[in-house]
Amino acid sequence: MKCEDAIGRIQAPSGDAPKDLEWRNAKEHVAACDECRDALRGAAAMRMIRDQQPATPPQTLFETAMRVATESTAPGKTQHGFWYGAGFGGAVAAALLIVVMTLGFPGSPRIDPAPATPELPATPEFVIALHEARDVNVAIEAGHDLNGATVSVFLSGGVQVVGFGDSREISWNTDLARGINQLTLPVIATDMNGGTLVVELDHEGMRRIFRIDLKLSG
Amino acid sequence: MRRILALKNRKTASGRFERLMQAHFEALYGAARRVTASVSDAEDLMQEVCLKAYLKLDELERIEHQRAWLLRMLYNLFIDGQRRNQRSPLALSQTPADVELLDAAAGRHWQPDEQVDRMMQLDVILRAMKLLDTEQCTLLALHDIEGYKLAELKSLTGLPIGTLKSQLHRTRVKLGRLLRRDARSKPQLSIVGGQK
Repeated sequence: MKCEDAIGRIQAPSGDAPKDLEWRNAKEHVAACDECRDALRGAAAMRMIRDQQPATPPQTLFETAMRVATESTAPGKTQHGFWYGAGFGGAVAAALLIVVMTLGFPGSPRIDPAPATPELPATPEFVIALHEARDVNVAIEAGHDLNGATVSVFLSGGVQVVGFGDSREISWNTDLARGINQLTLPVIATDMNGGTLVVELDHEGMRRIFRIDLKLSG
Repeated sequence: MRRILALKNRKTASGRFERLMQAHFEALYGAARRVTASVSDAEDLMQEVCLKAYLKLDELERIEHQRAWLLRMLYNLFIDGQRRNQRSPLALSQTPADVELLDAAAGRHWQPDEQVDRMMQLDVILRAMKLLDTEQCTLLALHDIEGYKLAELKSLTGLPIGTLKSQLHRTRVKLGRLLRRDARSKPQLSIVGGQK
């Protein structure tokens, strides 16, 4: 008996039908077969995810998600300008900012060797709270797979990334898949002055920098 | 003039997109909540799906099984996103509170020790899923979680039913094997929640 058939026979709803010879054979097969037991464990895991209670989306989510999606770009568009979609936030979750950074599209400018810091566009503001973590989400859109990209986060003022103490610079290498990659930064204010967060993305001479001003509520 | 026309087209497209998404939004959100550990993660995932789906509006409108197509995108983004989070050092800073939200929102009245076990199991399962091939894991999720029949998956992927059947089986085996390994390599998991 094939593994798939044995599992199918055991899992098929039998109602009040008596357990026939085929069922007993299937049962014996599964009992002696590691692969079948793994498959049944896998199936049980998926059932566990399936059987969670259904959830209803928060009322404002649809509206906000539509606004962010449709205002950020246009259908069929695969290439974007340097920055788009900046500055949405606040309404989706307790705190959410989606900033789309694009990298790896044809024509992406390379690093200018002369000025150390490329000119920054208008800076979006993001409201945070004192001693309360808020997620700042940065969407990074890659034109193709970017292996070994460097992501750096620079902080100034009275803000920290949760879990990194007073580090002013966090940097790591990562692979970005083609499409939208999301970076979530849980940010917390440590004093009333707020601060600035700069995200820099670097891959083989292409660089993108995005700056977000973090202000305190009230 | 060209700019006015572009703006008009954009408005029309956004209206079409909203109408289309209205029909599927709740189902998509339900899927997002099942595979994420918090409301805010689910909302972020939904936002990502909407952004990506809007870019492909023209393609989406031509598709017969739009919900399955959108769910497929959602699961792909979830699995790939999970992988990326794993590589980022920032993933280490996730708070336990995120996990607690999972069952609070599910609204089931389990006993406290049962709740801990279940949360840990779900967490382990979701972590194991990210180790699977994205497309195969997505197909398994569409079949086993979302309830799509083989015939529907055939029309979505173009793969023959026999191929789909054995792919699903192989993916279940891989998932089950990963969970078995996880249970062996991390015995402390059962101790933490095992106040029985």
